[in-house]
Amino acid sequence: MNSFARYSARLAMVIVGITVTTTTAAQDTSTLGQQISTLIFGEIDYREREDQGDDGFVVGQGVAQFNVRLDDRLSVFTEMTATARKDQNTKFQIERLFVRYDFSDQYKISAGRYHTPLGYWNSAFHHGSWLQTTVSRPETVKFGSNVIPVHFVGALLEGNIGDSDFGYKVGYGNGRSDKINAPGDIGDSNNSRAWMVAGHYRPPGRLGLHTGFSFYVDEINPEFEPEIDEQLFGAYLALEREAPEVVVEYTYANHESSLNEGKVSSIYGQVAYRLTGRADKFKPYIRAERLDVDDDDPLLGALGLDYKGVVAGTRWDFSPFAVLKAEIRHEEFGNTGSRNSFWLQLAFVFNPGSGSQPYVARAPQYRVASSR
Amino acid sequence: MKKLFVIFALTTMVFITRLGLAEDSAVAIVVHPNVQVSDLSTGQLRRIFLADQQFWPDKSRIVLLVRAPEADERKMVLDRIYEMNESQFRKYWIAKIFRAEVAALPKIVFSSNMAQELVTAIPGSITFIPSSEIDSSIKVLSIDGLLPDQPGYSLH
Repeated sequence: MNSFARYSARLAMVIVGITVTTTTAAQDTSTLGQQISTLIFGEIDYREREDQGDDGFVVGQGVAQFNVRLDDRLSVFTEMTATARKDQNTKFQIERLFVRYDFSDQYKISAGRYHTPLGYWNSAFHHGSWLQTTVSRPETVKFGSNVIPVHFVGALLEGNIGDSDFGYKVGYGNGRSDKINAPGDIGDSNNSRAWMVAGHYRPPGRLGLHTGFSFYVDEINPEFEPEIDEQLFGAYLALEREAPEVVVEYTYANHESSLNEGKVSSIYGQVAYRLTGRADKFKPYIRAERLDVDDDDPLLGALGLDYKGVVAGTRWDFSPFAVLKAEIRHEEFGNTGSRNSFWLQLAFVFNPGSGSQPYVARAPQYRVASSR
Repeated sequence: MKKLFVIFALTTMVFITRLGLAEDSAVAIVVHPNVQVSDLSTGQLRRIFLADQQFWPDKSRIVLLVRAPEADERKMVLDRIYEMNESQFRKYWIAKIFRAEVAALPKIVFSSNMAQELVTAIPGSITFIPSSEIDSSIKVLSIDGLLPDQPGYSLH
């Protein structure tokens, strides 16, 4: 069996397993009924890159997410991915897994593995390619990034501030492991916890305004390196709407060791605009990004992460649950020079538990006959 | 000329009929009888329907019931409360559940009758029904101090 077949078979097993679970849970008739909501995301990519091998079709990441409400206040959230790899071994990973208890709208406490709520993109789109307008994530927040700790293992307190449109998050956890782009899944490698605070403002309304900030502090012991203090600050402004959609996100990091000190700054801006009339299924977009890393930065200076890039493309929502994106990129990498590339992405989402209404949960235990 | 007159008369009748339906088609916001709330501001209503507020003041969980697509009252609620079209509404809830901001999606109801039966059966539930179809046993909320049959009610 080739790698694609193995990947497909394993992904199908995951989906079938979750579907069976969904069906079973939907028949639960406890007081409120345990409710499970499932989403499956997937993608097929095509790429042509200057001076690179392995172009052509790429089996993108498969994502299964399920949220289970165990009772009125206790919930479990899980996101799992299946990623095809060059070595023919599909990689399965639990990206997010946490248990949350909701005391109220103002206080929700959880523990587990998260996407670190740093800035906007990392906590807005997760692994759902269908959700994000573009093919790719910004370089700064791409999966496997060394710039920010994409994952976080620990505890999180979050909620609204009073009855306002302001919200907060306070986190405490393991931070980066000695492999700096991975979290401490099985304990804090240097026994020095990371902590973070974040705030946001998101009023309801057609403008779709969402703005916020985050601050993250950790002490890192990279492999074969001296101990490094890390402080990260992020701020963002987004208009979560279709015409126009706007995202601007800034990240600043300071790293300090006993030997030297360095700074990292990154900014990207993305604008998209849903066309109107007969072209309303099309949404052109453009994003510009810049990432600067001090050569003296003790954590990232030696990695050649400087980056400038512009991506432009169009998203075609040819189905309510599937999209085709075409994207061209011009990128300048600090360590490998510049590169142009062309990308196509077919991304989709579905809910195996609710027939043709993927966004609406069923409630069979309450179903009644209708006379109207 | 006679044909033109007939066409004009028919068009006017259709317009008046539609206007009449629109005048009568206020949407009432109804809740489970035990919900300790009788009035909501437009802002609070929006926060509840967007699931930015998921608990009633007495800390009980809000259960949102939403009418299936194509119903006129759904179109009005999407336009006036969510300020979204169907596509944006769908994407909103997929994002909401994927970001773990809600643990469960709204429950779908397929008729006004079903909405009334569920809203009286499920503690903490809230939904919307054409005001012409509610019966006296249903608890109707006022919005900004106004009930559906009062002038100035926002969901007409």
